[in-house]
Amino acid sequence: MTKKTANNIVAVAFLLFFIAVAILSTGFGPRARLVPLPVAIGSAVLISFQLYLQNTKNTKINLAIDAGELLFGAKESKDSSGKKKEKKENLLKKELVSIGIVVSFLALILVIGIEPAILVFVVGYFRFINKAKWWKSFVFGIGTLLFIHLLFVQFLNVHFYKGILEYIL
Amino acid sequence: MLKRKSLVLILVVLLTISLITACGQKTEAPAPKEEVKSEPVKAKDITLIVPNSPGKGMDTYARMIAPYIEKHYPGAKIIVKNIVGAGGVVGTNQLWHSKPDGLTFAFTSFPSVLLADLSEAEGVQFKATEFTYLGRAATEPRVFAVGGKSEFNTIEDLAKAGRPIKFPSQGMDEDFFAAAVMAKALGFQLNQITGYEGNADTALAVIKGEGDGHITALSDALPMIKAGDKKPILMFSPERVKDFPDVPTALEITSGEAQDFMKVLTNMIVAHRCFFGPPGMDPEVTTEFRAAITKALADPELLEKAAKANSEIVPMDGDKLQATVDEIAASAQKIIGPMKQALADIK
Amino acid sequence: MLTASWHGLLALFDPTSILFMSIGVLFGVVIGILPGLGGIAAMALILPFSLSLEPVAALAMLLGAHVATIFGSSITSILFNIPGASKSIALCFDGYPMTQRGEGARALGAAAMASLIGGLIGAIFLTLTLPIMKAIMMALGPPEYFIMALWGLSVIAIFSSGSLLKGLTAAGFGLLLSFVGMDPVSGTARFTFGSLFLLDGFDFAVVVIGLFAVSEMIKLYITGGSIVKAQTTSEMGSVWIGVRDVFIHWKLVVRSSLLGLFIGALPGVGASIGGIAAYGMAAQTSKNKETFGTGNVEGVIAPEATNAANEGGGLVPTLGFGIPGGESMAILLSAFIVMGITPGRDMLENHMDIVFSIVWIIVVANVITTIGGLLLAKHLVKVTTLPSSVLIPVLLPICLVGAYAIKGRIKDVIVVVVFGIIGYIMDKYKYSRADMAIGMVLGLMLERYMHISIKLYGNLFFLTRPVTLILFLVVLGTIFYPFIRGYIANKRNADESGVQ
Repeated sequence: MTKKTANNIVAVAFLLFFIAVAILSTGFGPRARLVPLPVAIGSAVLISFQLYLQNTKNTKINLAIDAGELLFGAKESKDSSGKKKEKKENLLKKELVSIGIVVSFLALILVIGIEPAILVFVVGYFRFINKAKWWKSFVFGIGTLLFIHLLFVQFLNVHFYKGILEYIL
Repeated sequence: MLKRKSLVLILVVLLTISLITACGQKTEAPAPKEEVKSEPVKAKDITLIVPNSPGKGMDTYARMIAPYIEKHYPGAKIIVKNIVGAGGVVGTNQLWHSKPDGLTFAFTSFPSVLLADLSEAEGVQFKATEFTYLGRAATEPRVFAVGGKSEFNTIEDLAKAGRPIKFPSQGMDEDFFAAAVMAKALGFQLNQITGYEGNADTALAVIKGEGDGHITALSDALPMIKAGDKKPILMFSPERVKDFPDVPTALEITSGEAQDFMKVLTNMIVAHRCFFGPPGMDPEVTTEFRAAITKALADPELLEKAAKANSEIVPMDGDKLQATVDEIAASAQKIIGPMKQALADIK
Repeated sequence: MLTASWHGLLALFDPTSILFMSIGVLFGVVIGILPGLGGIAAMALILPFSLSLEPVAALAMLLGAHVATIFGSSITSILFNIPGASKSIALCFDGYPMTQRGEGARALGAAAMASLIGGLIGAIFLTLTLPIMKAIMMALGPPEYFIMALWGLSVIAIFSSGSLLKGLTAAGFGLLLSFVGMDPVSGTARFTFGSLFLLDGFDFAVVVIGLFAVSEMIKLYITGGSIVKAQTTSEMGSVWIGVRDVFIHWKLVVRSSLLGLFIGALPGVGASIGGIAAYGMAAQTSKNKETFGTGNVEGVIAPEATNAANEGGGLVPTLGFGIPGGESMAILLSAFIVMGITPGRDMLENHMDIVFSIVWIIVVANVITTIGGLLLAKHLVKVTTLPSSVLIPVLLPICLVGAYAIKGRIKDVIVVVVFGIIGYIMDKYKYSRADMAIGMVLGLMLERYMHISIKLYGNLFFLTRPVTLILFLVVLGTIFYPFIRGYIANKRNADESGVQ
């Protein structure tokens, strides 16, 4: 997937979102749609224009409309350096793994409840991703869990979600 | 790498220790409560649903009273659970669907439960008047007040105004509906201006003269009334308020159908902050529960605590509360018309 | 006046008052650091305990906790891109880039000092200008709030460095997300698909934790290494560089503090836009505009000073009328009533010493927080040099649990993860997350005050009310001033070259 394709996918996703919101808004009463409808239509127009720009001219020109430049003169674009120059496929794979880790932690929380999920996640992360020793992984896992438990449960009186098992049983 | 890891380790340990000491300080206060508990006859965990956010008025009341219900209800262990969402509808729905075994009950504002039901608010699955009512903890008069510099001095002036009365409102809350019903009963035109951020925002709008008047709890309005920034012109309470003998109540100034409207509003405010359980609770359990709540609300220790926290306890027995609710149930349908109209007007 | 002020100070310098204030401050910093929880949570948690104390000690503890949360939330915003409370979101914009550059200690030092001076200015000007502030509060209404929200939106341009179109798209996305839920104006359930969870709308704090913090964890895993990408020389010294920065930009500090005081005095506008407004003002008046958003210390100083001064402003409606200026002031108000003091005119006439005690409490609590903050800063910064392999597994659970703890709803944990992924994608393809957050803050405010204004003053409300019109012109002026100034500068250059 080239950078251009990825850029287009993101822009089209925004466009679809705005169109969907605009369509939903037409179903509301006049006062309820007074603000959302124009905002959605306006945003859809803007992102369509962006799509047009990034596909008709070369990639450098879509940076031409620069608010920083308009308002304050030239502005350096925020650099995302420090990233190692990896092959694109490698990056995509890493992105998917990273998002996968977060999503599986979420799934874990939903299924077995917050506190057990934290223990499993932290221990698992140290053992299998950091390749730390078992005892060390458990020290971190229990430490994090203890910290969160004391802070939120003992101190702030939060009742933690116990997982779907609570509802099934 | 290793050094850094040991640094984290030390950090975690330090944080934990500091927390333990901090917790030690905090937990000292509530500890003595445990001692008061009498011998458990039949140990049971009872869930008290509070459909309001933690730390807010309703939650403070519930958590203040819960230990005293435990004390007077042998074997009970009460767990307070805040189930927030959709203006209390989520928590109240959960109570509606829970088993009527006396192991789940709720505490919240009766008017908001009733009006959510009558206005057919989004997601409502319950019938407000069919719950089992267990006891009232507190109530206070609500007042309709106009700005200090307002052209209006009495409630009669509103009907003579010859223009719609501007009523700043924060949304579809009980005061919004009460205003609509009041306008219908007293025959004045009403212009509800919805969208204000909160009670502070509407109060300021009234003081500034941007809006004509609003309905609020008497205690909230008191400092402004004392300073002359607001004028009270109508009370929603069964009798005249001692401190304001000249301000009429909604019941006095109406008759016939209009009075029926006002009766629903007044009764609704009478029931105010109350405990209730799922519909069809076992009569024996209900009697036991009501007795425990009545005893708890009369506990001198609680009363002292409540006075200190300025959270006044104005109890009403479960039987009496149930009768009040039944009375509301008989006539509540009447106010649905003006309520629906109010909702249609702001669309 | 002076004797009353003196008595207020004396009442405070009682060992128990100072002790309880310190406990309050410590508590406040901890609550502030936790993602999502801010001053309201701190005061609500501490209220039951404080009621058993002497009035001044109780106030010291409550206000101390409240004041300290501001700096507490700034710490995590600066170091981890995790806004500890929604009002400190503006600290993420420049504070976090500074940390990445290895200047975390400097940013913390600047924040602590700006917080101190902002708090002082807020408190002092509050006493001097209470009657004026009261008059301003009375003069402004919904149409003016609307214009102010509009002005807040102009900040979007600052972050749209890549492309204005993308920046506006992100802002539009944020605006539309703020409309999800029950519409307070027309009572319509919008974009909820029948879900009761969506009926309450997206909680801003939850979305922001996802957008900034969770997305940063995703990114950190991919890039590896630690948060700090470059190491500056001596870290110990940089705390003091930060402190010095505040004095170099003293004009900015004064301006931001007065802005904070002013905004704080308007109930309904609230604290959330204060930081963003200050940030916009700093960017528009700065000599180094182009570095905003990439780690400019001015972008840390301005919102922090504003947030601290905001507290003073928030007392105006409380002291003047007995109206709580915000939720935290509502808690303070209930504490007053318990102590037998009726806030409002009575308090200003008969209990001036208590008013001054409050002012002094804010001052002293700020001093304690700052000293603590400066001492802590260099230790805290060390955490950001930890490798991602340690930070991710420890911080990610805290973010998710924090999102859960805000309202105790498990679905918020799903929301935080979804917005974490959205935030990562937006960051990668240069759709500004800051613009989206600003859109979310201002969306409902714009809408509600527009509807109220139309109902009160008609469709052309911004032309028919003189105050509104003036404010409207001022806003237009500040938006277009850079263009005009640029035009004049160009013309002058052209003239000069023409003469030669």
